[in-house]
Amino acid sequence: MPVWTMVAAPLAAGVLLGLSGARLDKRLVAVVACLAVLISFAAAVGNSVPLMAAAFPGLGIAEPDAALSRTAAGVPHLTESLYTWVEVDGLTVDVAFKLDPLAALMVLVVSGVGFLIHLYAAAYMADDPDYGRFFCYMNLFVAAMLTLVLADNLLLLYLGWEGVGVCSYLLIGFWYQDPANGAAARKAFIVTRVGDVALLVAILLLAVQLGTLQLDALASGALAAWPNGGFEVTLVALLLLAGAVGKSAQLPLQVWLPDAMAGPTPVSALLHAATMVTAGVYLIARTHELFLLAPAVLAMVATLGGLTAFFAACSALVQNDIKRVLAYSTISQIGYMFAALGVAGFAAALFHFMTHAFFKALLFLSAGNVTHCVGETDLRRLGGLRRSRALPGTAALAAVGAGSLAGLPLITSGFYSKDAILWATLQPPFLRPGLLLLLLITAGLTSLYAFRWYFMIFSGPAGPATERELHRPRDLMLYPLIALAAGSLLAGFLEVPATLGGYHALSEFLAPVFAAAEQRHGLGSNATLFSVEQAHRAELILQAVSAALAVLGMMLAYHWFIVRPPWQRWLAQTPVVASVAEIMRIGWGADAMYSTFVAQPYRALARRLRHEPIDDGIGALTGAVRLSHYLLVLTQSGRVRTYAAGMVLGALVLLLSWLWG
Amino acid sequence: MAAVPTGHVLVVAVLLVCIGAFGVLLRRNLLFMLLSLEVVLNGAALAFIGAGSRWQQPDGQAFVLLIMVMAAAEVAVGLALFLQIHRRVSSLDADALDSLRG
Repeated sequence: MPVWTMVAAPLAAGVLLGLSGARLDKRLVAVVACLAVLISFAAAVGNSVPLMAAAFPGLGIAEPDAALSRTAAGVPHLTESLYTWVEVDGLTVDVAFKLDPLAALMVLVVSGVGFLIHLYAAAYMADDPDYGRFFCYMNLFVAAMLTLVLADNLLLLYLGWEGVGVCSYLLIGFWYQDPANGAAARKAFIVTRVGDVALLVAILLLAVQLGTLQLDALASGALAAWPNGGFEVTLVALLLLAGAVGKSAQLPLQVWLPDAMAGPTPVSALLHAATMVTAGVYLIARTHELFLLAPAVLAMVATLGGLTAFFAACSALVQNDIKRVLAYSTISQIGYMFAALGVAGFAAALFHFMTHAFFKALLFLSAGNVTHCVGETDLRRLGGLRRSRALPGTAALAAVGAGSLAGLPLITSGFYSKDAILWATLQPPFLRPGLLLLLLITAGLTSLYAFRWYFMIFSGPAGPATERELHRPRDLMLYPLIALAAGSLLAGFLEVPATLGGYHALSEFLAPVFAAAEQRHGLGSNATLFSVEQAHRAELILQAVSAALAVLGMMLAYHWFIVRPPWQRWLAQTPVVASVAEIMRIGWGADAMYSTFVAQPYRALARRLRHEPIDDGIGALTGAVRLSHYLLVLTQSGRVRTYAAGMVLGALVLLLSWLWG
Repeated sequence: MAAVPTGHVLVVAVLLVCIGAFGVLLRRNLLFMLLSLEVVLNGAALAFIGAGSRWQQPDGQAFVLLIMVMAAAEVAVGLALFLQIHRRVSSLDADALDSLRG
């Protein structure tokens, strides 16, 4: 199957469902929607095989395909140019899809996880009257996301980028009858728009400065035209970062993601956890040559990522809504990916993207099962669901997800990918011990909130909402979770650190994409910092610390939220602790800050402008005319004698002026 | 016949015009205003006569005839209007007729 079928299948299904979804039978809608994404996944697998064969010749899975070509930098890829989209003086843009190892990883995750979530949604949304509309949006989203990932040039990438933004808006506001959902959708759309505009400016700058938007040509053009740390490349990288920050809900544009939980749960799982919000990570990884040329911006990526990871983890710790915990957790985990990108640990960031897609989708779908079964989203009213017969398996699957998020050592994929990121922060020349410390603290917090979430739902005594009769979710809502749980447990073994055996399938697969840049900037080796022996020991210590933090976090969460020792109540009632918790709960007051410093001044300005101050200048003229009108009206008394007096006076003036003139 | 000096004629003419003008401005009754207007016209006519005799020209007398005809016509039209006004508003007070006030 050609590469473009990956995009075409969900696009065609989306259009079909959009035109006739309301009239089709629900079962047919589900089959069409899931089949389209399955075709995408099949095409992704089929086309990735030659790339895998090229990366691992020892496996002997297949002969390297003849269609497989290599770029100047030696990256194997499949490129399909469909037609010329834009052809103006000095700029040609094709509609071209390129599948290289980086894109292959992304399409496999997007279409694979996307397919599982579509299956889940087919059951989850079964009672919704707008079934066809829902799957229309979902399919269009998959098409747009795959366009974003497969695009061979920035303009096509931008098309996908905006496409996923629109689908995100439509899906957050899917239940539009409730005005709050519409407000959340608008908020998401407008906040990400800030970043999108920056990205568009970056694209236009690149087109004007380098005369091309093709990604490889951009990288080589930038290397040839711009010095390291030059003004233009710094500006472009900064604008690209702004775009990535908006889409990936990083500081300071993180405010939209918690509210985006207004959408149906499968939407939260697919768009706002597994795929769309990681588009920023993909963008930075894709344009890594530009970021490496702008070290100041790269440092900013690391700082923003670390801070976001920490602050969002604090917020996740005190949320009471089952999905808001996961939303803040997503922000925090993407912060990890940004931190990895900021220290040029591109493979680590993408590794974490993949494992995160599995375990976060798993967590969201588990949360979906819980809300579907109990009809309650407040964690404080849940509890004891592990023993409920209405939810067989979900508790165990959610435990796998929570454990993976927390990074429980050895068995979960989160442990391996988080460890890869932590280790990346110690690799020169972007050595950042401060960042490492921040991320380690965050790792402890992550484990704490992940298991707080799990224990408050599934352990302890039954909550007020879980005591009554529960209705059992369909079996179809369990199977995708099993697959995702398998991914959450097994994906980690694609990349096993040197201390535990040293198996680097994923980074070897991705290596060609980043090899040229890493060689040029002397990355990927900490030989200058440690000897092999020392590196081994340092990594072992790091793993031990992060594993200990994960386990400690879990134990503390159990002690704190299930055993509930007396000092916990005492601590919670201390005014200082309570107010700090409240600040964390409202996301560090970011919403209030935006309201005070952006929304309200803007609204005040709008109020002023409503009365058209610019028209006041012209209004003064009409005012003068009107005033003279009133004065003249006064002379029009209607009395003959007044007029006669005027005539006499006039005659007198004329006479006198003639006499003395 | 001893000629009256032109200066005296003009003084009387000016006096007549002024008396008439003040009459127009100060009286409120329309009839008296019309009468005062006639006085103004007579002042003007007198000035024409004086000027005609001063320069021994017939033009002055011709203009006086014109003024007389005009005054007659004016009185005819004016009185007719006053009659109508009196019928409609039962008054000849000039100040009461201010319905054209702006």
